[in-house]
Amino acid sequence: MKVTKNARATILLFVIPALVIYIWWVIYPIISAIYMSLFQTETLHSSHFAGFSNYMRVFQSALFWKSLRISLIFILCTTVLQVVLGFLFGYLVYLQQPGYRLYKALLFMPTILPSVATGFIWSYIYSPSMGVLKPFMKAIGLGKLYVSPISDPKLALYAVIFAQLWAGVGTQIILFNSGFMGIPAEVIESAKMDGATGWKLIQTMIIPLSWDVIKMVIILQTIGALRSFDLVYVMTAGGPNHSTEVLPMHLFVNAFQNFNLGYGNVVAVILFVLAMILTVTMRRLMQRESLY
Amino acid sequence: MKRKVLALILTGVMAATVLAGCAAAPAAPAEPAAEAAEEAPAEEAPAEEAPAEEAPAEAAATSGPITIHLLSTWTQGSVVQPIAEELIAKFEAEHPGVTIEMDAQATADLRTKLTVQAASGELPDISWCVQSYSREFMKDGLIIDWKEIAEADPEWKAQFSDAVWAGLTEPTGEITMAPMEAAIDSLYYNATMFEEHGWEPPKTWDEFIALCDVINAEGIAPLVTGGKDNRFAWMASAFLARSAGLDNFKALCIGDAMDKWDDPQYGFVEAVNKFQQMVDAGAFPNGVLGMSATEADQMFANGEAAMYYEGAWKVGNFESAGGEGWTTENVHRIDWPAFTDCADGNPGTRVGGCFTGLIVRSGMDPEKEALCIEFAKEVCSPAFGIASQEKGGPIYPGVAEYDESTTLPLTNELIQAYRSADSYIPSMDSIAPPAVDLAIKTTAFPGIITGEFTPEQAVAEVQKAAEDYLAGLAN
Repeated sequence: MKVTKNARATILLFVIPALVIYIWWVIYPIISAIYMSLFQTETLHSSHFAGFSNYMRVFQSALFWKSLRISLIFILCTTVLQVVLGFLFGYLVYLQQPGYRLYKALLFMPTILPSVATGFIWSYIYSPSMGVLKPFMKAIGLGKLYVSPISDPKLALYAVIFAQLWAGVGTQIILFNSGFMGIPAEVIESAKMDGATGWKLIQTMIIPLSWDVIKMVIILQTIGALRSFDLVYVMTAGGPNHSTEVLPMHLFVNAFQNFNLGYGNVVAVILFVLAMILTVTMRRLMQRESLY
Repeated sequence: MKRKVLALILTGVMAATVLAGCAAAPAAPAEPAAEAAEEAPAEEAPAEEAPAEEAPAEAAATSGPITIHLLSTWTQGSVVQPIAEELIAKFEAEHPGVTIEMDAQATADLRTKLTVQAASGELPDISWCVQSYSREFMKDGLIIDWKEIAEADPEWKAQFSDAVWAGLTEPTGEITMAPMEAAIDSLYYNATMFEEHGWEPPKTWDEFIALCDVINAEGIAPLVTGGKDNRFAWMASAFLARSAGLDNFKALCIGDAMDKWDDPQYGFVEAVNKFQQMVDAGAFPNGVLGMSATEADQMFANGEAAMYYEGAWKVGNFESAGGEGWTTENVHRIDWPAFTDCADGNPGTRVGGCFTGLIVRSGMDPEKEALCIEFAKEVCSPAFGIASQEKGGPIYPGVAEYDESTTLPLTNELIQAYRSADSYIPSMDSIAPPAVDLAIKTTAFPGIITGEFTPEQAVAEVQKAAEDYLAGLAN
C-alpha cells in the first residue's frame, strides 16, 4: 500500500504525542542514568566527571558480584518454580474438576496482595517472637531448634523465594490457564480419540499449542525477578550480611543509603543491560514460533 | 526482525523503570516501601495539656494560602503524635491561611525518603533529621543555617545549653538544625526478672559475659535487638568509646585517622574482638538477625529476653509492647559495661547527646521561611518537648525544668543519665561517614553473628569501606 505524503503527516501527528511521552519518561531516564554513571558523587548535588572509574569500582566490589550471584539464583529459582508450578496448577484448573472455581480463587488470592503485605505476612510467619512456625515447632517438641530462616544467611534467600512463589504463582496459573482455554476443544477431543491422554496429551498437544503463552510467561517472570526489590526490602532489607541483597537492593543501598549516586547508576545500567541480554538470549533459545 | 525490535523496546521500557529510580528525573520521588515499623508506637491517651505557648491576642494572617510540608517521626499512635497534632492545630489557628501537611515515617524510612527527596531537589519544608544527614544537605545549600537565627533570638537560644549548640555547630561554623531531641544510650534490663533470679546488673565486661552464661542456662536470651533492622549503630559507638576513648573515636570517624580502622592503636580492632566475645557467649538469641526492632521489643516485654540495648526512645516502644505501666514496674537502665582492660577507653562516656533536630529547607519565599522557622521553634520549645518527654517521648535537649512526678520513672532515669554524663559520643550512624556506618552495621557485626567473618575479616570490611569513601573524596 502506498503511503502518501499527507498520510505520513497524519501518522506523524498521531505518533508525536506518544513519542514525546515515551522519550521523556523512558529514553531520557535511560540516557540520564548512563550519563550520571560517569560522574563521581561528592555530595547529593555535586559531582565531577570520572570516566569509567565508577564502573571499575563496581566491578572490583565483592559485594556487587555477590549481589549478581544472588540475583541470578533468585531469577533461576523463581522462574523455574513459578513456571513449573504455574503450568501444573493451571492445567489442573483447566481440567475443571469439581470445585475448581474455589481452588482457582484460593490459588490466586495471594497475588492480589501488594508485595509489601506479602513481605510482612511472611516476616511474621518466620518471626521467632510472634510467628506461627516457632509455636508449631514447640508443639512438636522442637522449639529450641527453631531458627528463623530469614536470620540464617544460608536459608534467607530461599525463604524470600518461597514467599515470592506464594505470592506470584497465582499470576502464572491464570496466564497458563487462559492459554490452555484458548486451545480448541475439538482438537483436544480428537487427540484423546487418537489415544493421547495424561502426560502424552500434555507433551504432544498442550505444550506445543500453548507455546506462545509459555514463552511470554518465562520472559515476563525473568525480567520481573530481575527487578524484584520490594519483597526483599520488607523481609530482609538485603540481610543478613547481604545474603539476600539482589541487584536492585544493592543499587538502592549504594545510591540512597550510601549517598553514592554514581555507583547506583552503574548498577542500574548493568541491570538494564542484563535485562536486554536475558530477553534476547531467551528469545533465541525459544525462537520457534510454535512447536507445530 | 520487527518482532525482535519490538521485544527489545518492551524490555527497554521495563528496565527503564529501574534506571529511572537512579536518574535525576524531574518527577516526584517514589515513596519508599514500608518496612516493619522499627519504632513501634505506644498507645497513649492524648496529652491533657496544650503543648505550645499561649496564643497571641490576634491571629497573624498571611498574604495568601501557604502550605507547609512537614516530615516527622510522629507516626500514628506514637506518644508524641497527639501532642504534635494539637500543636499543628494551634499553629494553624494562630496563622489563618497556613496549612501544615504532615507526613510521618519510622526513622529508617524517613532517612531514606529524605535522601531521595534531597537528591531530587524536593526536600520537605521542615523535617526531622540527624546531624550526619543535615551536614550533607548543608554542603549542597539545601537547608538554612540556624546560626544567625539563634543569635538573633537570645531568649530562644538560651533554652539550650552551650554544649548543645557546640555539638550542633559544624567545623565550618554553620548550625544545620534546631535542637529537638536529646538521646542517651541504655542497657535496659528487666529488673523483676533480675530480682527473681538473683542476678546483678553487669557493670563490667567480665560480669556481662559471665551473666550471659547464667541467663542462657535459664532458657532466656541475655540480650535482644532488632537485628533485621541493623540496630547496631548505637552498640558500635558504645564498644568503640569503651575500647578506644573519645579522641580516637573522633579521629576515626571525622578526624585524621579515617583510614585507620584496622590500626589497633585506634581501638576498633579491640571493639570488634569484644563483639565476637559477646556473640560467642551467646548474648543474642537464635535468629536475632531476622528480628525487627518491634519483634525484639515484644520479646523483651514477654520476658523472653533479659536485656535490651538502645536509645532513650525505647521507653514508648516498651510501654507499647508490654502495656501501659510495664516499664514502671519492670525496667531500669544502666550504662553499657566498662571494658576494664582497655586503658584508652572512656567508660563514663554515654552514647547520645543532641544530634537530632529540625531542618528547614532553603530557598523558600521569606514569609513561608519565617513561618517554618517559627513552627520549628515551637516544636523545639520546652512546652512541646517536656510534654512529649512526660509521655515517654524523646528527652528534651533544653535546660528547662520538668515535673518528675508526671514523668515515667524510666524516663526520669534517662534524663538523669543524660544530664549527668561525663561526655557524649553520637551513635555511629550520626557521626561516621554513611559508607563506614553501613559497613559496620550491615556487614561486619552481622557477619560475626552469622559466623561468616572472623574479627579480622570484619575489621577488613570496615577498613575497605573507609578507604573507598576516602578515595571517592580524593578523586
